[in-house]
Amino acid sequence: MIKKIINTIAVSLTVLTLAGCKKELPAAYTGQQYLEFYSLYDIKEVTTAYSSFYYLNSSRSTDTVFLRVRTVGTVPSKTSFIKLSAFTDPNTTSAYPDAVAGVQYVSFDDENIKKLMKVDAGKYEAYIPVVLKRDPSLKDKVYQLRFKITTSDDFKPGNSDHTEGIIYISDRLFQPSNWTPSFFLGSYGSVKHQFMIEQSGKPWDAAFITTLTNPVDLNAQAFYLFKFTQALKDLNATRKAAGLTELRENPLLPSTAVTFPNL
Amino acid sequence: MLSLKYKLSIVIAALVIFCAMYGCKKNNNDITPLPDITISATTVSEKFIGDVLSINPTVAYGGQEANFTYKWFKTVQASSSLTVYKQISDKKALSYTLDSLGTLNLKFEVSNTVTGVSSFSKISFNVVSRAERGWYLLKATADGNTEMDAFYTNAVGNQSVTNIITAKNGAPMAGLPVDIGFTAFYTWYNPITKFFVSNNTCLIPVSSKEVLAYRVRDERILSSTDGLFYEPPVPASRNFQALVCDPNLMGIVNDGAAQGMDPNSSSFLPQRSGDYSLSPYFTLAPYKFNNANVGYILGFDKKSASFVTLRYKQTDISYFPDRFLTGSKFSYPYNVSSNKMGAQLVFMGNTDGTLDSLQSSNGRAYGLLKKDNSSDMMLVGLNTELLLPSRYGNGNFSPIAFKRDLLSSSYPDLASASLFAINKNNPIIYFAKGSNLGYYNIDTQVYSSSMYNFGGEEITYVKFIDAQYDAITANNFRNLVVATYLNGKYKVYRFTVLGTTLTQTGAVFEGTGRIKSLIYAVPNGNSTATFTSLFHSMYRYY
Repeated sequence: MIKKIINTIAVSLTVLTLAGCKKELPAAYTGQQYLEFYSLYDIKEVTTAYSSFYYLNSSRSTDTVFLRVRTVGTVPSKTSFIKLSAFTDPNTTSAYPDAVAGVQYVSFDDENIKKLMKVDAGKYEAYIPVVLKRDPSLKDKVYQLRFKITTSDDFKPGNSDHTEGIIYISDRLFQPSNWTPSFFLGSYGSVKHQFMIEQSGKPWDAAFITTLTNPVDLNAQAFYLFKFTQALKDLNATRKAAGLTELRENPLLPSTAVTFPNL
Repeated sequence: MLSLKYKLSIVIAALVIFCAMYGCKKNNNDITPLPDITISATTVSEKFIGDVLSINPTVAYGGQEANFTYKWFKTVQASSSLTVYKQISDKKALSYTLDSLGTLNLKFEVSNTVTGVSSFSKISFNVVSRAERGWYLLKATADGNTEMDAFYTNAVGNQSVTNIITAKNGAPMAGLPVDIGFTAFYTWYNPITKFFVSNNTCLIPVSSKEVLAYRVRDERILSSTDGLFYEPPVPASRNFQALVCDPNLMGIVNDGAAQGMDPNSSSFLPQRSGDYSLSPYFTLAPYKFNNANVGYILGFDKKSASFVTLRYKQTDISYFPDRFLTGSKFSYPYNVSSNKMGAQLVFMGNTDGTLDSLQSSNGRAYGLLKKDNSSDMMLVGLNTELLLPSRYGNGNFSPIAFKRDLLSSSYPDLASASLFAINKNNPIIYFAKGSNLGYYNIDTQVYSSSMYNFGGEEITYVKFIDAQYDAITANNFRNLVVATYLNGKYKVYRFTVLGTTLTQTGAVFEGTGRIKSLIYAVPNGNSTATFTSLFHSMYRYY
């Protein structure tokens, strides 16, 4: 009898041990797909881009900005389509009017655009196009296109910190967002901006300025400050010899003379 | 109850386990201890960077034969807070070129290939610069290019190194030598870390076609011509003619046009505007490191035959107005314009004392000019205080406070000399013609064309170096330094000067090539209390 009990306990322990090893691992997530704009930081960040026809050949009628997006939750098993929608932010006061679909940009509902706004199967990132139109109104004003990821058949918006974007559209010079009051070349003026572009052959838009300021490149800054100061001095001497005023933002206002900070 | 057979099985099992345990214990008692791996103690005293470290430690294994693997490691800084060992050799005998300054921590690890048992030994020592104090000679090679030799002065005695440029850069600098300068503030863009590194003490050797930034302490070329200009001049058009180094402004002359480099910068800015062509002679106003009187360089425009200033934070050059400061220390104001001199500058240098009765501090220089269409010369005294904004408003007066004609009939060897220097303590001009060295005392107007003769050796360089800037007093000196050339070889002589008597001092530096320029470099000091170091006293070189 005791022998049977010992044998029974031994067999039971063996069976229980083996059964314990068969416990199933957690399954992969297969639920809702989410989508957000690519961001390095876990903070609120509005994806920002610029489109300036000013720097493009006059024959160009459209410009395309590509936005980087990434999926959250799953890697799509099939081609998955994205939906963007433009909106007006009632809580933000902006100097720029909102762009109008069909006028300054191709509507997000355009069938051809919709076909391109997708994440391919097996991919977790994509670049989706926003097509801007060269409308004459861009010569007068800078327009802003605010948009956000909205629910499509395949995606829901992901982290709300990373689902909004803005594109500034223009066909004229405008103050880049990172030309701040402490900018190393001093205060902004469109004549000054144009002068810098002509003298350096550089666009002096936000992207180019970033190469000088983030990280700070004091050597390049010294070079450009010297170059512009010298060129302005030479130009003003030539203008003076020709009976003209110095270079000004407003030719009638001496107080608007173009200047650069001291070397 | 359990059956007898079952009980027997349990007993047998217990016996087996007991025997096994007993057996193991017995075996343990039979193990013979392995011998220790012993590594002979190795000590290394201070070494110079660039030296090849050779160490071959003795490894013993209790008198037994064994096979080992060997690894040498050095500590490296993986991050600001993490130091790790990096392997530098797998040989027992280490041969390693010391490539960085500071404390070098080495670890030697020996492993028995059979047992896997290892032992290690550690060694630490300092790697120091051998190059921070000494003489750097810029010379022309036989084929017309530029090289640099050095004669170091350091704790283990004098050492010399020849043809440094070729050793570091693979080839001499193209073109004939121009000059060699010095800065303590060169900013280097490290292409590996992609960060700028400030305050590099560098020599700046210049040839007619190339410029280098050579970091002295670790004997490394940080940047060459393309990296030293924001807008590098195309090689075919390069014609570097002069270099001048002020703590706030390094200036280079390329085909007559000036380009400046700010301190804490890595490149020369674009050419300065104007219709001018600078001569290669410059001087600086005396300054102290911690005041604002730096960044004002006196030069000469060949095109207009006028004295000019190169100022820092300026995009062109400046001329002096024809305004004259009253109150000259002389009996009457000379009222000499510094413009359209009708002569070309052949030498300029400063010395102690002043030409300014309103200021008592040092601030005088002298310029020698060769008159146009004449063999006569003109000597002018220049009040360098007038360069300074804090004195007389940014060069608002003519700097010429004194003028004297030197007729070639009266001073034939001075008027036809090829090289000039000025005593930094007294207004005495030295001049060289062929193998002869002469002098002209400006105050007493005493003249001699045969102060010293070098016996057939052609004088190629002469300068009075007043090196009272070295923190180690023993290395301070006031020497007239003369380089000569004969049959493809140079000699550099140093003399103490007492009146008009030259007494040779120290060893003669000898080598191949023809000396164009030289500099006595010392470690850079940052003591604003004592104003020592070459950089703080750079005006003494001009």
